[in-house]
Amino acid sequence: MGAKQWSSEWMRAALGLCVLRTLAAGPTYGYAIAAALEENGFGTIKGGTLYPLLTRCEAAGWIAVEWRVGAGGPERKYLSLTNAGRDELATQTTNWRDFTGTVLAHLDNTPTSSTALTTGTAKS
Amino acid sequence: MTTSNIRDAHDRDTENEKWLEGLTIELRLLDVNGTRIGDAVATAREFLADSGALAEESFGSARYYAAELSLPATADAAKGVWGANLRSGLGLLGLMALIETVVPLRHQTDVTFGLGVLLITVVVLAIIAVLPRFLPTIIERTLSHGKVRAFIEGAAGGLVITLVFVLISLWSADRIVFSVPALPVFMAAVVLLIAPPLWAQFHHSYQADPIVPPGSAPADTLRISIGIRLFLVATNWLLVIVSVILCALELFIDTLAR
Repeated sequence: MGAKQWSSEWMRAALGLCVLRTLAAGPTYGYAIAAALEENGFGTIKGGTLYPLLTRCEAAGWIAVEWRVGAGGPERKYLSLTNAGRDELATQTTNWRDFTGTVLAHLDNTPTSSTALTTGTAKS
Repeated sequence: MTTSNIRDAHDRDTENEKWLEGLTIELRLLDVNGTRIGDAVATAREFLADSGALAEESFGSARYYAAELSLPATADAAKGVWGANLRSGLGLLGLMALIETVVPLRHQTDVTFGLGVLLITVVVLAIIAVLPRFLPTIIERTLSHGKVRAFIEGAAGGLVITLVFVLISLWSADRIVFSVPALPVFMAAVVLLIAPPLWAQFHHSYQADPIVPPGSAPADTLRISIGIRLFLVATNWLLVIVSVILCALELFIDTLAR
């Protein structure tokens, strides 16, 4: 059974935060980030999705870039979180928890008469 | 690894390299500087080597990905294009004036400018002025439709322009607009012809804004072969070389006619 593919809109909303979280473990490179996200159930992350996002994070000053020569392999672009990136990760994580908590609370909420009124009732 | 797998990997690498070339061109067309292009191309190459994926499947089309990266454009890119354009225009003006002047100068007579020559000059300068607007489209068509079709389209375009020139010449017949002493025109033509390449020679490196792979200094990329260096010098002085040949031809025909 293949990995679940999430709605592209959800992925667009959550991917930036999840990439920052992946980088919190230490410097790593593009394919390793995509592989880690896939391993954690996000499905296949394409280069065309990942790198524009990383470029935006770099432009925002959340990510630092360093090219290193790999062991016997070609040069690799290593990415790491800057202090601003760590602050952004903490802020976004708190906001995301609040948001998902709000969504879950709403979803778990038993419909009341007030919500029924706003949606309207059929006339008999 | 089987032969089929090796061939598949080889085909994939070939296709990916072609895509990376396309990405380089698309980023150039977006006026991204050479260092950023080098970084973006090396990054994509690294991901493709790691994932073993086809570039088109992983990144989408080169044009789409180049736009998605949203890399900042070089501030003076447009200035550079218009500068090169101005130099070409002036050089061409010098070339045309020189060809018209060389025979009258030999016979110490006035140089006459016909209506046809003036109209053709205006058309040529107009083409040079609008060329930068159409250059990205021309390059994109060459990339998407293939070199053979681009060559046929280019040849057809050249034929149409030549036809327009012939029609202008026939229509204008021998109508003379003005005549002036040959020597000042000759001197002005030489200045117009020589000044632009001379300026380019001293004010520009042979490879302005080179594409720099990560980890190498820009100076490294300037170590280009003598052959390429000679080719670039020849390209810079192309109009001067062409004008010498055409003037020699004019003088030869004039000698034969007498």
